[in-house]
Amino acid sequence: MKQKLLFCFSICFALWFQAFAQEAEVTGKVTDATTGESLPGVSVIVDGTSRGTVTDLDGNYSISVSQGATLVFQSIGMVTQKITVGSQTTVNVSLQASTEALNEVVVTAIGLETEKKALGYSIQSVKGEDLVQAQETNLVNALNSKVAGVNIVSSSGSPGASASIRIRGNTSINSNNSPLFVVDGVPISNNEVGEGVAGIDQSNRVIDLNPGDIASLTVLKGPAATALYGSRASSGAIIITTKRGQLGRATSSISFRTSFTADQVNKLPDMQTSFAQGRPSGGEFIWRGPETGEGFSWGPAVSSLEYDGDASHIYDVRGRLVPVGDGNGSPAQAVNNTENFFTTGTTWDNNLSFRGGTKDIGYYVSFGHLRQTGIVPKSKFERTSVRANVDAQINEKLKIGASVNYVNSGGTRAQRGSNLRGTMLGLLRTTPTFDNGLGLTGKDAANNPDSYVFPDGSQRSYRAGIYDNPYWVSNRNVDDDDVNRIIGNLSLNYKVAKWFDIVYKVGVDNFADIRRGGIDIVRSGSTIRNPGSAFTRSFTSTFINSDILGLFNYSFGEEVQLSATVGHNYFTTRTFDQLNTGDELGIPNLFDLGNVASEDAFSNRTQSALHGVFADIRIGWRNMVFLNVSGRNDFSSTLPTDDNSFFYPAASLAFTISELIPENNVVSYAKARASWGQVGNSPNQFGTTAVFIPFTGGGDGFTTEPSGAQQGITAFERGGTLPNSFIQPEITETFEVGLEARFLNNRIGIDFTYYNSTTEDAIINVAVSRATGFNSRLANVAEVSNEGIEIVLDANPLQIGDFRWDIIANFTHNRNVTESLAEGVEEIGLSGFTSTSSSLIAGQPYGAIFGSAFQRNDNGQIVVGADGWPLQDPVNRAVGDPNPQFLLGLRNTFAWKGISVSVLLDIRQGGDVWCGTCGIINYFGTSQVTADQRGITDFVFEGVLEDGSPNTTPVDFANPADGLGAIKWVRYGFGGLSEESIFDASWVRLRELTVKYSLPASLFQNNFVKGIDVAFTGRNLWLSTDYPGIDPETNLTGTTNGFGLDYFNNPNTKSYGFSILATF
Amino acid sequence: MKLKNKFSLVLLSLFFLMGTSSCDFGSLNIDPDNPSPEQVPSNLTLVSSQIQTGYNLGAMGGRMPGIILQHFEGFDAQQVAYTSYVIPDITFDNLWNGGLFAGAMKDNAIMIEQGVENGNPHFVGISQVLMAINLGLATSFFGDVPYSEAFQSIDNLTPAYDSQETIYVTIQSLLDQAIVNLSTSDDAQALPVGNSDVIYSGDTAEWIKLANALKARYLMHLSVKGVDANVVLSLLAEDFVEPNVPFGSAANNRNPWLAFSQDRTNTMIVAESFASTLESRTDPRASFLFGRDVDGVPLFDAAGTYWPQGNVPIPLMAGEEVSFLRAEAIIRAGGSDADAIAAMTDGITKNMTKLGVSDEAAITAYIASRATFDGLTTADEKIERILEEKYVALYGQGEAENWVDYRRTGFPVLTPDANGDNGLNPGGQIPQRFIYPAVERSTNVVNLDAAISRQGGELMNVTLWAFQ
Repeated sequence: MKQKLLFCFSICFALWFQAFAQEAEVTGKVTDATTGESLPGVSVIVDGTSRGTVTDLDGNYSISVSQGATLVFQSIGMVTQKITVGSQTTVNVSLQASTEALNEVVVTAIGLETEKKALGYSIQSVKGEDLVQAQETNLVNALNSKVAGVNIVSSSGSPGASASIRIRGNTSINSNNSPLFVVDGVPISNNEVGEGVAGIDQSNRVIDLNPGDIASLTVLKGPAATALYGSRASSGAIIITTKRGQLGRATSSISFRTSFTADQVNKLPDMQTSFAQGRPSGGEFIWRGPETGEGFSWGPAVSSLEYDGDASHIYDVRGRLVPVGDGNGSPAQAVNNTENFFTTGTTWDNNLSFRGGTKDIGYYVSFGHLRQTGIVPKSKFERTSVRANVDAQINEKLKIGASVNYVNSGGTRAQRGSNLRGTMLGLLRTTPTFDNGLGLTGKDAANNPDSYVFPDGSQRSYRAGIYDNPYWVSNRNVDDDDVNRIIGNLSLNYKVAKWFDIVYKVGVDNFADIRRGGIDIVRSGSTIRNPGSAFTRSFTSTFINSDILGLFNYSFGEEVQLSATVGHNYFTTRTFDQLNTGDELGIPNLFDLGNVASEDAFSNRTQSALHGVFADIRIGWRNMVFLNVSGRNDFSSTLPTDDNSFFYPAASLAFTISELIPENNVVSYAKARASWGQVGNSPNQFGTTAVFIPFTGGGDGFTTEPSGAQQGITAFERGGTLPNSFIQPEITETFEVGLEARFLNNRIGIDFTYYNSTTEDAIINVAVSRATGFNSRLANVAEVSNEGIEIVLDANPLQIGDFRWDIIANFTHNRNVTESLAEGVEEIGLSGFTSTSSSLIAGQPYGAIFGSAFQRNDNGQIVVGADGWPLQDPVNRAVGDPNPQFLLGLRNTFAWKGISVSVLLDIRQGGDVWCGTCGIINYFGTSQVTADQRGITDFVFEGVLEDGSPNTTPVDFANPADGLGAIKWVRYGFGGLSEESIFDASWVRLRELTVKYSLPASLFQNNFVKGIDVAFTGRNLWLSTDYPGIDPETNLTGTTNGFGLDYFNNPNTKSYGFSILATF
Repeated sequence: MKLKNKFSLVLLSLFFLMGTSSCDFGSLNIDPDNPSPEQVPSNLTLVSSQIQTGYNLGAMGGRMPGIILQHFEGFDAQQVAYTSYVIPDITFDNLWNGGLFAGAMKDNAIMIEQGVENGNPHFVGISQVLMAINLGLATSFFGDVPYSEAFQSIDNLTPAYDSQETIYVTIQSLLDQAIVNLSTSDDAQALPVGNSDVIYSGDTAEWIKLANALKARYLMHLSVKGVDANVVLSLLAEDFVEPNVPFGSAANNRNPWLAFSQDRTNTMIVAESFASTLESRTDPRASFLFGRDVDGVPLFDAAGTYWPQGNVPIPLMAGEEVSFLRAEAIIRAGGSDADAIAAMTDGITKNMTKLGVSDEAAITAYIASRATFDGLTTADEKIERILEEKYVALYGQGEAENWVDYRRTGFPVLTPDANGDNGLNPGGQIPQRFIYPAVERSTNVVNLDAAISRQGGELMNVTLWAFQ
């Protein structure tokens, strides 16, 4: 196989030597036909060759052509024009903008540029400028609400936090459903290392891309669109084209963009400040101070307490709390620790780029640096990116290109989630009568060690170090990462004949993610709460991708156009993960593996390879009917050795109806399209054979169980998954129909898509009865379906003089259902906890929230016990659906001369989120709900007794005489029942507000400065939702397939930013 | 070669690829880091099974019956609900999964099978003993559990549940077979056990004594059904050596009580009733089992307590248990009070020594007041006294056995939690069993439902067959 590849490669090199022809220089300017403004970045290609140039920032170009040649002027979002050059040396061209045009050019799979009208499937593009303007660190977030059919959920507002992206829902169970990201033809990793319910806010690796380098981004949604990428793009693909230089004539421009953004927390749970630390004892609520380790805020009313004035009380110089009358008369104080904790984060983003070229060379080099500090004190993220894209026209026939992007990223991560040493966990549980910041807030408190550490080195916290003071967390629980990444590619484009090109492309994505940190020793006096730990982790990942393509393009007369692509693809991945941990620190706050009493190590490698061969044929008839048929055969190393080949076809048809109707003022354009396609997806590696693994103890869940070598003896056990030597690829089949139409001289446009997809033989690790001796077995047993509607609507309701108002709306509706699981299997957890999880349940929506609930009778009435309290159902069930009913992104843009105002509203209807945080803060009595309702007595729950008669027994929500265990929010267990914490996460938010001003060109007569744009950007400035916790755009487990869980997730942010773009 | 020819060659090779049905990737899909089953001998898996079994007894399998039997009570988090018997089906997923069936029991099943194939009867015997202990724990919590159809891999993905009656027969049979296997000569072993056994270092005589003592324990479990106390007595060796599972203080091998103390600080304390009972008896062990904080809250992990320490092992069967089994069997067999009191005294003394009590006068005073049948006339009263003392002595090392004793005799007498009446424990009495783990409902529902209906339910008020 490798030899074959080498052979293919060498052929391309054999095609270097060709002669030059006689030419004349042609120059000109390309302008926008509507606005008259010059158009930069328009590609100008000599038809029938690969030779071309790109217009500079002023829209000027220059190219050498032979007489009689035809120039093709192409730009994404513009009508393509062809002009035959006669004897003239100046050719000025004006292009029609895409909203008024139908011959828009788009990038499709493997970088092919195609007229949009010829596509039989839905794709959608976003301009690089729109991504930059969002001022998001993470490219994935910058796409939010901008593309129909795409659902993006950021995991939190922490610096560098991941964001999950799904195109048309989840299709796979075992594989990640994140789409394939392709940069200049090279698939790159969007891995999120270390995601889980605890730990820190992790990054998804697409965060390494500098949005400033992106020229355009195209979203390929269904199998018909992605077929040529094969199984890797089974969840759709995001095709990113970076900026490139201009060939053809000597030109250069410099662009510098700087932005500053301030971030603040945008939503927090309501916390109470009226009841003190303590619990019921001896029939009354009593105060119990920090030294007792008391966790609850079920103490007396703050108003009933005063200080005793004992300055020797180390937790508070004002002394302990005693009933009014017993102390020094100074009334007890309470604080909202949660509001006090968060600080203002900042982001500085600077980008400098040089772009230009000579007759035969084009270049784009850029330097980007982003430095972000978070709303959680001490958290930060930094990204430095260097890119060089170079293209060279070697001769009339051969063009080569090379790209290198080096990125260094990383920072100090915010602790979060189900992490006893985490930020939000300790913060939201803190009782209001204890001030975490000792009178200070935010950064000031974090910078003042007195707030979190006593002179003897033991921790100052509301329960004596059982949960950490969040300021301690910021300073002493450290998790740093340092990622070095190189993404590069080399491409050769050889024009064999006017109708035939050969393209070869090889690309590499390699990164090393080095992490270090630890948890500091926690003491309360002489008691060690946590002996401390340190770790180092090194994760490296390598993707290598090679494509060879033959591109045919042929016209049979005027009527029939034929294009075809055949190709071969080789794709290989390797990862290496090495984790070293050490326990029991010798010296506090020194996270080095030399400073631990015992060490443990873990390492893991993965590897896979894929060969694919594919063919794609497109036939156009009378520029009206377009048929596209494609097929790909993959050979995957992760399938059984003797049966590792699978084939999948796709076909699509586009029909321009408007060609049949006479020109009129109502319908400007109409196209119907339909497509059908399959895409296969191979299993994860190493699933076909059994292994033994190092001993991994279990059995508790509350503690870290034993693992690894024991008593100096190497310890193994059999791996938990039953292998499958007959595993097959899972196949997703999608049927899609769509209609595109434009009305009233192109002022209104609609693009409607309906699709229906089914993944059969979905691969899962089916949980099996542990009595088999296994946890799960790998099998092709599930079926997952997606059905949805996408609508893109654009309109230009007003255009008066220089004033212009544009609307664009992206509507997404997707219904994602787990149709069936293996026989006898009722539920499979995707992520979360044993008590509440995002799960697969046959017949329920994908990712349904599974947990505990109240007992209900056949009529759906809640069953109440004889004591008046609703009974818990002994059996868990689906209690929530985290999938939204629809998403709507609505952008209004108002432009007048150099000023434009753009408002992006984001509406999400439906979709539940489990607010695990809410259940826990109710349990501990720190939430406002528990302050409002703890006084309720003689409450009669609606429901029926087991005999069917209505409940009439009154209960008290928190009667101290009945003890702690009888309190409404304590009696159903830690965090209550899952059902009680399910909330509708519908929202309306102002996702982006941009006010931009381009300084008039008349100011720049000196020719040095060519333009200056200034902009104000607001992000998430307004949010309306009934969700009681933090911003419900959150997910505990980052980009995993499970979603809709919030358990001490870090909050989201709202931002105010200012940017200047200067070009020289 | 002409260009066109070269191109044809490329195309040809592509179509050639399309035609093939597989592509050779060599060993790319073989995990390069983890060994295949053939590479792992039993002497590298025995330790996994032993440590896991010890952890089962000292973690969930210790704390949960300890809370039910009021050695402990919840002070925070999930443990508060457990104290009020709000113990939902998810509670035991971890113990059932990684602790028992897909944990230690899976290891034992593999070693039994491999040992028979490879001619390692000592490994087989030790594994049978460990299997019996885990199976005993499982049936004492849940009644009917899968066994005869279990551990068959792909051949049976939904094993049926054996009745508890069958399980007790199986346990005795496993122990009988173990004794046979452990009695084979050292020369008959393809692979010697040696130091891969972290409990007895391969000393088969000790394993045989343990197997016999366990036979006695599981016979006594069925005292409600009738037990031949003389048989029990015959199985209890005088020179029983504790099968200690070694633990330390490092996170990867922590004593389970220490782990809970560090990982879930202050969520569980010693039950006030237990603490005050010990104090009222001036039991010198009190300060080794708990310490009171400034508010008088009895902490199980206060400074000076014995169990939550690194380097304190968890016995598979405490020496104290053997003494108390003997004491009870003597009474049941109609033996002399003196012998029974001697056995009980032996149990108390062993426990005092283990915990580090050095005040001889206090020990003597305690034994004089408690290791006596003064004023007790019926066998029942004497058994009550023996089990009251056993209840104290097995604190931390035989919680599950205490709960079995309670359910078969009603001793020690306990008052149920005031808030203990809920949907999971109708009636609010001291629980009789645990609800089956949720994981079985999601993966083996037909057999689970059959087992539940056979037993008349699974809620915590349902009495297990053994105690009916």
